[in-house]
This record gives sequence, structure tokens and C-alpha cells, in this order.
Amino acid sequence: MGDTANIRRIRFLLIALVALYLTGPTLVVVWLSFSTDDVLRFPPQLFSWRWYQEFVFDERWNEAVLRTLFVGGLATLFSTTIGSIAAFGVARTKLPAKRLVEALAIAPLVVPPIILATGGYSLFAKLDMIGSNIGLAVLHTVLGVPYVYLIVASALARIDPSIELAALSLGANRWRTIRDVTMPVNLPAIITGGLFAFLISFDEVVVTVFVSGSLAPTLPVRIFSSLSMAASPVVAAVSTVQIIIAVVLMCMAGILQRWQRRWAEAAPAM
Amino acid sequence: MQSTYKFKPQRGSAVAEVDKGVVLSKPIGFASVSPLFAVLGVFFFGPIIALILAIFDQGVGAAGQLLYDVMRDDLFHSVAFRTFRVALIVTIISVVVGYTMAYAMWRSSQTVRSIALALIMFPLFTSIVVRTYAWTAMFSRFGIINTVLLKFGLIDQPLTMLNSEPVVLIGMVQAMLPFAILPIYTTLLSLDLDLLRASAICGAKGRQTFTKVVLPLTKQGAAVAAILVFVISLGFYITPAILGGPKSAMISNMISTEVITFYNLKGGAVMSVLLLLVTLCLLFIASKIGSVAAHYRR
Amino acid sequence: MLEKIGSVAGSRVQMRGLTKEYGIVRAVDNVSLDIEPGEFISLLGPSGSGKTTALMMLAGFESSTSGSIHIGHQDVTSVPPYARGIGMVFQSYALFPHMSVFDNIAYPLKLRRMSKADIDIRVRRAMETVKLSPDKFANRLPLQLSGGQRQRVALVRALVYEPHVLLMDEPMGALDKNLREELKLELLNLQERLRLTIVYVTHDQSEALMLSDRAAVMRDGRLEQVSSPESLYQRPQTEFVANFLGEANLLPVNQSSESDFKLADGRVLRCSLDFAINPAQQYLLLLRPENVEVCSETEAMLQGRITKSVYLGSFTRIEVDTPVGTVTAFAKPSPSRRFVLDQTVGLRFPTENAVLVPKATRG
Repeated sequence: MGDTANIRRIRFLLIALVALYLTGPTLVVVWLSFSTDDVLRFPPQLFSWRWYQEFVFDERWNEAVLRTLFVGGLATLFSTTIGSIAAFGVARTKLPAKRLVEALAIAPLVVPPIILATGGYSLFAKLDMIGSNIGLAVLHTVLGVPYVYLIVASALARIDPSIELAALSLGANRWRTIRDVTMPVNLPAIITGGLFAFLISFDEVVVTVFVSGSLAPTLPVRIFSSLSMAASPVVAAVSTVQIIIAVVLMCMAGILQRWQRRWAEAAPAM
Repeated sequence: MQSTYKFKPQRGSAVAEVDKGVVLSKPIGFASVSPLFAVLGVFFFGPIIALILAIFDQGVGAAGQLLYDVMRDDLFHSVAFRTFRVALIVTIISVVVGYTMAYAMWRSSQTVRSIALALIMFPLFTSIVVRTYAWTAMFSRFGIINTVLLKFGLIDQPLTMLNSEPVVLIGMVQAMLPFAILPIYTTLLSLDLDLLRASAICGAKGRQTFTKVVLPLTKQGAAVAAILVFVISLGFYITPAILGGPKSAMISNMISTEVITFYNLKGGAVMSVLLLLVTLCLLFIASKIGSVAAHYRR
Repeated sequence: MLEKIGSVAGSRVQMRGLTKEYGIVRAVDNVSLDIEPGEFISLLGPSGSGKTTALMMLAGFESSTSGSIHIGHQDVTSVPPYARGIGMVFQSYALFPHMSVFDNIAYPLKLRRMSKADIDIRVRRAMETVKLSPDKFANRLPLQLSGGQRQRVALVRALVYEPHVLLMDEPMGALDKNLREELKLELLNLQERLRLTIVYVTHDQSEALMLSDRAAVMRDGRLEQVSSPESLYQRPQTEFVANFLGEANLLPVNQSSESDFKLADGRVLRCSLDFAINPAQQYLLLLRPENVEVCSETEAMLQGRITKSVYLGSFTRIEVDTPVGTVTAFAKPSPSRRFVLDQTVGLRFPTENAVLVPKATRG
């Protein structure tokens, strides 16, 4: 529309400033991680891999990584399975009270994490589950399920229902149709949901702190607790690794989403 | 070539619905949501019930006493008040900046839009701990800001900026902005651009088109975004813990200290349940706004 | 392979008192229709007339509230779609986006547990019959096809397992005009060879007239008239059908004797009737605009002033205000003959074999 060059310039400046505010500081961390200095300072003396080496060869960091991956993997597996099946059930069965099911599936998203943390702590204390990796993974599952549910449910709603009708008309019964058509067509969304679930677990601090007991902390918890003390630049290296993983997962999710959307659009002609 | 199938002839039991696709039976529906219910029942409602039991395990009288103790606690007063204040400020800044940003993106070219969108998604994916660490690198004694200010001779001594409320606000707004921008941007995207053209043809100036057409059509999206941001802000833990220090603690930090440092699970439980109740009330209000608006649109 | 199907004739399809109610709305209301083996029948009607619902009941995606459906000798009223042995082409084509063209077409054969080698041969031959080169297209995804190619894949996928009945739900709706014409001719050719029973839903009357052996016009869930395209157009039995297919002048007439009818201006017409006149019913004379001729005043049966004139290439569509009402005519213009507003013209039309249509009492 007829915006003047000035308005366009101001608009662009605003977008650039907000984008810088959202991403800039995080990128500074990447810069810091290649510092040769012993302490955090600006501008850092470049360039070395020493903090990465420290991260890779430090047993305690390794332990944290392993535990994070184990818990995150389990949580991803659980929440992807449970969330996808529930989304399928709501979308494709004669289940009553679907609204209620949906509200419940999304509920953990809006409840403050500290409540799950303190509540989980008192529950686990009773069940003698403090320090259980599986217990922690299940709590992370609770936090990841809403994402899986929302992503898969919206994909299911977008797919042209007539491809399922087509399978039925071609001779596939309902289960065959779900196996051969509904499932594979929604697979990108299921994987996207899984990526989100992993990121949630990968990023979780509060609940983990409360129910870990004497177990080694997970990666984000270790970063968190080392921040309370004077942070050595190794934290910057660890953070950079985490950023890279997150960006890779984000790109994967983006590609999968586009894929899913194109599939959904491919069905309705033109 | 026709295969034979076994089926139970039953009138009215369609295997599919024309506008939905395959439809499975009710029992399968229950079976499909039961794992979700089982996990949420034990590990989501379980913890909440455990908190309530912890409060009431010595009778209603003792529970009343617990509540009384918490409510009378001056520290609780100041922390609760600060939590509300911080959440409110974060909400106002996030929604105002978020709306402006969403609007600017909406009026921009497709390229600018998609780049901006990717940059907004970036903090959503990167860890909140890492982002908070990034702010300490900005604001610490030897951080970028102090270095720059010293270099230009604006200050002689490095400033102490960490452990203060403004820095907490900066960190929290950064975390919450995507939650404000994205729903508002989505609402804007659903607007028909012809509406603006129609308004312009009717003689409205740019500002009139905005206040008379765009704003009324998007204020519901903004309201929902505001409540979402406020609710999430109330529960912030990591950002105030790292950037704010003890003097800027919010309710989650206080609960954590009570439980972990003072072994006062019951006090923490009371505060947690109060926080939960406030959250639920706000969400209830949000759902009412949502449904009223849905009626209005129809 | 499709040539071979030629011997596998289509099945008879019978609908008896078929009704579908959604709450208090009757989407399909007591429809009975016999479709001959090998017949191409269109379900024609405006949106909301129940034609798609009827088709979905034939396919088994909608259950009927009452009534029955037979395919061949089998009562399929409560048989699920996958056991009805029908083929169906959807408006959106409904190709599986995650399968290649080959896998899409092979899917029904896999379900029927055919051997890999057989599937390969059949799919390739089937693709060739609709001019999709297997070497070029077999491995493409539906996303990589044009609208016309998708349509062909959808058609072949519905035919490759040799169903006796093919259902088509507005299969040309999403294509542009030229492609539509081309595909219509192809479909006619195919049908000539296969002689399947085809039920074709459309709201496009020209499509129905061109393709079908018979067309069933639907309105508000009911069958309005079922007959050949010619008689639907030439001898519509209701005012709705007369108006829905092409343009129609409907002039009120009164019966003056056994087979004589009087126009409003007193002119008497002789009609040959193939139905019994109900004296309580009012009748309308059907005049197709292409049968109304502009003529000199001496030959004229009606005279009037042109109130509208639209040039349409091969003819000019004029509306003439006459004593019996407004009459639309498709007049042939020539250099010496132009039709302008307010011009007074004479009109005439053939009076033998005049068609009468009962005047609708509702709507």
C-alpha cells in the first residue's frame, strides 16, 4: 500500500531492533565461547577451542549430557506416543466430550512449572521416586504432551478427509486406512511434535532440580547452577552447543511443517 | 477379483464421515485417550493432589493455620506484590511492543516477514537458561555494556546492573515477546487486505483505518496474548533467579527457597496452591473472553 | 488391461426410497432410482439439492435413514464402503500425497493381494490408457503433477481394480475450461469401451447433457425428473427443470378445448400432449430462446419493444416486452439487422409440438 519511504524505513528499523533484542545477546554467547581468556570479558581474546575441549573432556559435563539425553529421549518417546494417539482418538473416533479431553491435554502448558516441581517433589517423596530418571522423564512427558497433541491435532484437522474416503472406496478397511494413509500423511507432524517434546525436556530446570535428589544434574541444570557462581567461559561453550542443537531441531521442525502443509494443500485441487 | 469381507450389517454405523474421514468407535476413542489420562492423572494431577494433601494432612484447622501464617508473612506480601507488578509490567511492554512488531511485520514484504518470523522463533527454541546466561554476559561488571560505557568515558567505575528488577524485566520481556507477537501476527494475517483497501477508498486516512478497522478486529487476539503472557510471567523462575538475585525474587523463587532451603514443604505447598488458583481464575476469564468474542464474530 | 474390462459390464444399481435426515432436515428425500448396467447417469442439481449426499450414500460414507441400495444382486445398504466393490473419483482427486503415482494406482491392487509382477503390469498398462507415460510419471509425487494429470491418476486408480460401478463427485470442478472439454471427451471414449455403470454428480448442466445417457435432476433432496438429456431439455416436466437446464420463456396459458391452449393475448396454440391435463393445474408454455425467431410485423405472432440487448458473438440475446410477458430470444444479427433498445420487433415461434409445463405452486 501507499507507504512513504520514511514509514517503510522506520518499520524496518523497528523490526531490526526487536529482532536484535531477541537474538543478539544469545549470539554474543557464541562469540564468547571461542575466547582464550580465563574469565568473561569484552572484547574476548579470540580464537581457541579450549572451552569446548574442557566441556568435552570434563566428566561431570559428560555425565550431565548423558543424563539429559536419556531423560529427554524417554520423555520424547512417551509424550510423542501418548500425545499422538490421543490426538488421533479425538479426531477420528466417536469419543464424547472431546473439548474436555483437549483442555486436559493442554493444561500442563499453562500451569506454572514450580507447581509441578513442588507437587512432583512431594509425590515422589511418598512414592520413593526422588532421583529416578524414569520418574523425571515422565514429569517431562507431562510438559511435552501438550505440544505433541496440539501439533498433531492441527495437522489431522488440515488433511483433506477425502483421501481417507478414497482409501476406503479402494478397498481398505478402517484400520488399513489409518495405517496406510492417515498415519504416514501425519508422520511429519508427529516427528515435529517429538522434536518439541525433546526441546522441552532439554530445556527444563525447575522440575528437574526438585526431583533429581542426589543424581547428577542435567545439562540445563548444570548451566543454571554454575551461573549462580562465577561463570567460567566453559558455560559459553556448552551454551553454544545447546544453541546449535536447538537451531538444528528448529530447522528440522520447519522443514517438516512445510512438508506437512504442502501435503495438506496437495489434496484439495489447486 | 472382488475380495470378500466380513462385516456386521448395522444401520447407522458409518465407518467414515464425509467431512472428517475415518471414524472409529467410542470404545477405541476411550482406549486412545486412556494413556494420556493415566499419565496426566498420576503425574500431573497427582502432584497437585499431593500438594493439597500436604496442606491438609493434619486436619482443616492446621491447614487454616498454615494459610494464616503464609498470609501474615511480610516477605510473602512483598514477593507476591512484586510478582504481580513484574508480570503486569512485562505484559504491558510485551503486548505493546509485540503488537507494534506484529503490525510492522504484517505491513512488510514477504521476505522481511519470513526472516523476522525465523528470528522470533529463535528464542522460543533456544534454552531459557542459555538466554538468561547471555544477559548476564551483557550486564555483568565486565560485560559488554560496562565495557562500552567505560571505553567512551561515560563512567569511571563499572556499574552494578545485575541483581536488579530492570534487568529481570529486560530478560523476561525477551522471553515473553514471541508469545505476544505470534498470536497477534496470526490474527493480523487472517485479516483481509481488501478491508484496508476498502477503508482507504472510503476515504479513511492511515491512522483512521488503523483505529477503526484493524484495531477493533485484532484486539481480541491481543487480549488473549496479554492473558497468556501474564499467566506465564507469574510463574517465572529462572530469569529472576539469575538476573534478579534475592531482592528481586518472584513467587516461584520464594516457593523454591521455602521447600529446598528451609525444608518448609507445607508453606511452599500453600503458596503453590494459591498460585495455581490465581492462574486458573485468569485462564477462566481468558476462556470467557475467547468464547464471548467467538459469539460476537458469528 | 482396461480394454479387457470391456467384457466386464457394469452392475445394476438400485436405490429404493432412499432418505437421509440430518435432524429435521431431509438432505435426501425418498429417492428411488434404477440405474441400468453400463449406464452413465448424472445426478444434477444446484448446491444443497442432495446430489452429493446421495452419492455418498451409494459409496457407503453416509448411512441412510431409511430405504435401500442394491448393487448387482446384493443389498449393500449396510455394507461398508470398502466391501462395496465400487470405484470413486473425488472432487479433490484425493490422491495420497505421500505415495508416488505408481503407488497410488497400485494401492487397490495391493489391498487385493495381487502379486508384485501382476501389479506392475497392470499399473503400467493403466497409466498408458490415460496417456501418462509410466517411465515419466510412475515415480512422481502427486504434488509434482498438474491438475489434469492428477485427475487422470485419480481416474485410473479408481478403475484399475475393475469395479463394476464408478462414482464421480464433480471430478471436473477444479479444472479450467479447455482441460475440462478435453477430459470430458476422454471420459466418453473410455466409457464407450468399458461400459461401466457410472454415477456422475455435477452442478454443471452442460457437463451432464454432454456425458450422460440419462440425467437425474435433484432439488431439495427429491428427484425432480429422470430422463435422457434430450427430453430433459426439450420436454421438462417441471418448471424447475425447464429453468435449470438452459434458458426458458415460460408463458402462462389456459386450456380452451381438448388440445387447444390460449395465450394471455388470446392466441390459440395446438399442443400435442404426452400427459393428462389436470384441470385444476395451471400450465406454462415452454419456449426456448433459440426457437423464438425475429420476423417482420406481418409474420409476427407477438410484437414488442426490445428492453435489453446483449451481443454474444454468434447471436444477440434480446428481451422483448410483449403483451404475454417478457420474451427472451437468441436473434441472429446480420449487417443489415441490428437489435437496439426500444426497437419494436415481431417474434414468431413454432406452434406445433408446443411443450407445456405445470406451473410450480411452491418456491
